[in-house]
Amino acid sequence: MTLPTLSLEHAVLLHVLLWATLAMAALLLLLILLSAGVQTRADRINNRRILLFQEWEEGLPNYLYQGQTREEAFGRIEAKDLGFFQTFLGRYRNTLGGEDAKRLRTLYRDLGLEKDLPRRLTHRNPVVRAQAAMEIQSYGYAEHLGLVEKLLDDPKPFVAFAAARTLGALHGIDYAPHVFDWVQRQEDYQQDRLLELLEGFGPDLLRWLEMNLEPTGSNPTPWRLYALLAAGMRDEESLPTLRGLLKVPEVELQAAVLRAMGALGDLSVWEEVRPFFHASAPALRLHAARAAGLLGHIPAVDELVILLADPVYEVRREAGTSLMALGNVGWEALEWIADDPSADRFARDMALDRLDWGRP
Amino acid sequence: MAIGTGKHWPEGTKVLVVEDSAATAHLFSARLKMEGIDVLTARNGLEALEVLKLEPISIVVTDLMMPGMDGYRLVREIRQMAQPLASMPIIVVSSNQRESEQVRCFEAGADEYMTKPISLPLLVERIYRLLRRSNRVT
Repeated sequence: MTLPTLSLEHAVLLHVLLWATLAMAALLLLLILLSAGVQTRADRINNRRILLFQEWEEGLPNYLYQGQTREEAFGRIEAKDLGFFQTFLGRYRNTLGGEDAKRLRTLYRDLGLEKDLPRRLTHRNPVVRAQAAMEIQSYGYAEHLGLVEKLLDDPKPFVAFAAARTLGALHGIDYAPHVFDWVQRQEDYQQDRLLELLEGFGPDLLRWLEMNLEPTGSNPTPWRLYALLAAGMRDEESLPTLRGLLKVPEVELQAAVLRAMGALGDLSVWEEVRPFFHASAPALRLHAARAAGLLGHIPAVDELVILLADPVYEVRREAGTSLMALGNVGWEALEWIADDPSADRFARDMALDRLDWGRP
Repeated sequence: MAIGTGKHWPEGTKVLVVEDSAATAHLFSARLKMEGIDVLTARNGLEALEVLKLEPISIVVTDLMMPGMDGYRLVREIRQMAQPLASMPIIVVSSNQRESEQVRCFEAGADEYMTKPISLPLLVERIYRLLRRSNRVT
């Protein structure tokens, strides 16, 4: 039998294919070895981190509560492990307060961990940026607030949130307008949740807003936030401004102002709140009912009894709850309606519901 | 050996720490153990209920936000258990500082509400006072 002879072109092609296959196999092997190496290294680092964390966890109570020095409690911390130690301390940042927090802060400073903060605030990894902002809050490095402010425009929402929280918590009033703008840029449903951050600035922010916000006609949204902040801070100085805002015919704004007036608990606003029991918008009737309960104004019983028959369930429930808040007079009114078979069915059901809910 | 505040804790005092963060639970335990008292930990409300069925616990210290069953529900569940578990002293420890959340916890039956960040010596003090008020410390 004779073997078939290959033409020169076929022989060259076969060689090329053979070498290409070998090269591919070598490349594949190299990649496998490389990824195995990377994985081994990652595992080694992770194992080291776990071991160190376990050792440090044992040492921390001794450092905090038994007066041990850093060396005694944690041993010598090598320079390459400082990043780990920073992460380790971060786990207790939001948990420990008082003297414990001071000891933690001393530890942080002694190791010079704060020197790295400016670099970490501009790190390409958003988690590092957010952590740096939170460390500034926890350890009180107000000198870096200018850099933290820039993170309000960070593309990652959680980084911007961490920055806003830090600026509020450290009372950086100079940065408050920027944080306020940032809150306004968030979705409506998020804004109420973010008020807590703005409350960190304290009443100074309210005074700044009174001086600097545009008149309500052009944009009522910031004034709505103003009212909610005044409610959250129980800021009595806001009352004259709130009175003016209640006259602006914007439902959401007026609802926020009613909420604030209830929270402030100043009975002098009663006559201004009263017309809103008959407002066409349910949100306004609801907040008027809530304000009446918070103000504890006994003559409000009549208005609240009328709202017990409101077509909107939430308004009826708020009226019933506020009647209970008025004490004996309110309870008697609820019992009277509950026992009256000729009363409106909605009102009677709600009276029974509230009495049932409120009884010990 | 107790090396804490030198308080007189009765024999058998056992604290249940309910906390989803292992680091925090470990630190709380370590600090309480310095007082010479026993500490058990659970990662959420469900685990805590299991522990309560098996161990004689003197007081519960619980976080609020936990996966599975949160602290708020845990408090309610304990208050609905048979005596003496139903009158178990409970301290809620949470980073939520909102007044409404605190009221909600007290309405559910919590005895104390401490907001994080907290000082652990203060937590020890609260535990001791609460146990004393409920006649679990002589």
